[in-house]
Amino acid sequence: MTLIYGLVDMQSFYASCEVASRREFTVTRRMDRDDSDPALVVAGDPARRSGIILAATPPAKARGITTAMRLGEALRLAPELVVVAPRMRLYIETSARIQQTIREHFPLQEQFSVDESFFAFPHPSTLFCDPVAAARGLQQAIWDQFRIRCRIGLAPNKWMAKVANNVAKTVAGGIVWWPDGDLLPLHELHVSKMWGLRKRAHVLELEFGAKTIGDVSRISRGALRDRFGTWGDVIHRWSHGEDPSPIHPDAYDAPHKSYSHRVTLPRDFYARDEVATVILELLDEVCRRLRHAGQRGKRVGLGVTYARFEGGFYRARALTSAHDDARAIYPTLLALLDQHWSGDGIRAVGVSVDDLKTAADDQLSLFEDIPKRVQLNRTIDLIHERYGKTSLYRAASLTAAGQLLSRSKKIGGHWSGTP
Amino acid sequence: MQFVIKKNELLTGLQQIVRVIPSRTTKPILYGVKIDAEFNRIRMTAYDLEIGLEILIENKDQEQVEVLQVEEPGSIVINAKFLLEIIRKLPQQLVRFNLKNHIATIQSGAAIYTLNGLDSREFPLLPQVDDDEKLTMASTLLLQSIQKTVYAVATIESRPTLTGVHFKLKNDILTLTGTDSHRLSNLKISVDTLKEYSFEEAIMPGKTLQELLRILPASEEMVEITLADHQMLIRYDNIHFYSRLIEGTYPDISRIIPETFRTSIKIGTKNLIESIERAALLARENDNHVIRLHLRPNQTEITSTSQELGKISEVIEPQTFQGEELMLACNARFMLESLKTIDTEDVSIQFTGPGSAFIITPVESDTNHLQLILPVRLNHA
Repeated sequence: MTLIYGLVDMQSFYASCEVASRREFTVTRRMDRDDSDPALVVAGDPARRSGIILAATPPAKARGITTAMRLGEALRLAPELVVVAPRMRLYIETSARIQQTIREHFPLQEQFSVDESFFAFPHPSTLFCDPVAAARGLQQAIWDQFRIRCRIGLAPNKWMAKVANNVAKTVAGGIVWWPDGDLLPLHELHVSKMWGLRKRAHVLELEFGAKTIGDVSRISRGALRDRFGTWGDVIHRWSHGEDPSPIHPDAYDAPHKSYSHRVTLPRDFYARDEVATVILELLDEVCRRLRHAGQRGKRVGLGVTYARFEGGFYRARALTSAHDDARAIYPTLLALLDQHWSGDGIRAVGVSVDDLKTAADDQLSLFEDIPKRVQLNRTIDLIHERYGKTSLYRAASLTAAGQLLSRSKKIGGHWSGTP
Repeated sequence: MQFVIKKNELLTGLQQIVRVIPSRTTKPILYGVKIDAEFNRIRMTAYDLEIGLEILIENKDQEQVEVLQVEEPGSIVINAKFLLEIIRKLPQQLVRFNLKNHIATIQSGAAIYTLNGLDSREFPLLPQVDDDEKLTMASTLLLQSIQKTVYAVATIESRPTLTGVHFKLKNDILTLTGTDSHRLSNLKISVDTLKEYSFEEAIMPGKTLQELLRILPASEEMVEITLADHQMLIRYDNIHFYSRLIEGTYPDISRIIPETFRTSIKIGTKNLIESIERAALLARENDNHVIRLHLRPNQTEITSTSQELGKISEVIEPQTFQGEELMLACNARFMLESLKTIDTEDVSIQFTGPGSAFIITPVESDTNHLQLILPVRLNHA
């Protein structure tokens, strides 16, 4: 008995959530007809034509609209377009419920992104005697429950399942199964379909003359290793349809390796104290998460993007000891800002903390009451947990520079959709 | 400018000078050494605006052999590291310098170098220090005093004043203090002063002091210290060392030194160091290098636990014990760095409790040296 690995992904996830939650489209939509959806887009800021498209339904895409396109351009292509604002909270909650449905069908499951999930089941087995039928069962369940279409790739391992899933997006029914031992469907694909290689696929085509994945499989391991280092082994393995990665059902619960927050500012900031206010807000958020996870960071990084999103820097510095307290880390971030800021207007700021340790003991200080500080942080965390992040914040967040209040209405930089 | 100089004199001076030359700077002239030929001496200057070093080479009256002969005064700036390499490789013991229009000709035996120099008027001026008021002490004493305090200063600039050693002079007593807020070292020494010289506050950068440690000779030679205009000048023999001082107010440490103690021990310094070094092997993985001290009347127990590696425990017998039994945790690295500045056979440690500072002092010593360490608060125990 071997395992069959599957990758399921939702079609135009954010846009589908919007369509599915709007009564006016319910009657006409059909699972097997992409063109029964309205031409709808989710735009970062529907009020501004310079806002960008975050997601588009298949009929919108059929009119030439792509994600990351400016709204103004999209409306020129399709004036009748339905434009809606993002509701990030709805998408994240829907995502969690879909993951639950997948787990009910296939207990061995690993979330891969907000709208993708790996799963695996034994084959041959009496429970999943027809793999394609089992996949179709999941597809139908997700449609019945959420009115969202999904595509499923089935293959002997995770990497092939990911590639098969991409093929599934182009076939009727949206399901592709590559049984074990048959590499033909993989090998006839164009080399650019090798998922995860980025520019390396281009190198394979240009320098090795490989047109298809089959061509890649005929390049010797040594030659690949000479050109790509350790990546050579990976490419060799993948081209032979091999990938040993197991399913990690708890992948999303593993301890973090770093924490970071970033915000795009509503205008260019030129004043140091305004930038400093935003840095402190982001750092507070990072430290809150560190404390929640019982971790401390020994290195802190500051990222800055200048006006018009042109240029900027990311610089990190080690701390003398691991911290989870904003006041201990903040001066280092200011030092990074002072050292590397060219003085240009700042449009986006990011703060990260990594080199994480498990929170342990507190080195006491001559000039500061550390136990009192620990207790204060604990109390603030409790208040935030119970009454929300906007129940208690620094006075600086009320100044014109403060981003905390507008950020609290957003998730991942887009409107959460909850008042 | 024209002069003849002995190669070795020039080499010794230049080797000191290049220590102060910055490895990266936005002002290219600072890569240079300024050479001034005066009527009877040569003055070499390096200045990175943080540290300045001035070395004088002259014929000493009592010596028979002339090291220098200035034929025509003048001044030029030459890339210091490059000049050092050239001088090092010269074939003969005598070097002739000749300067015309910012071009220096260096001649030794048959070898002739022609080097492009820079205009010395563009070189930053060293601060003017009035030497009416000064304090005097033996070089080796200054060297030791710095060593015993500079280890404790902060390396991160969250409080800039803590990155330096604080100097204070009052009633012919010089007090040096270094702290990074987790430990502190405080040393008082008697010095000679001119005109009852005193000052309240001078914070000298830790990095500059590390540089000074490499330049100061470990001898009884006398060193003069003078303050002026946010600068400190340290002078001995033919060397003038200038340092910028850190601006800001140093925290008042008089209130944080405890005066009553719960537990006091006297213990062999060497035994304690070795025992902590053994325990520290297991504390390395831990971010705070935590070891535990359990103080009992006839036993001082040192333990360290690592979840991955295991546990170590060692008992040593203190010379004396006073007060109550006590258990506390502290940073092994802080302990070792403190104990290694102690040059007496025994050391006295006075504790106030598991959550407050303890004091380390040498036993039966002439030096008034006090070190303070704050414990680590254990969260899981």
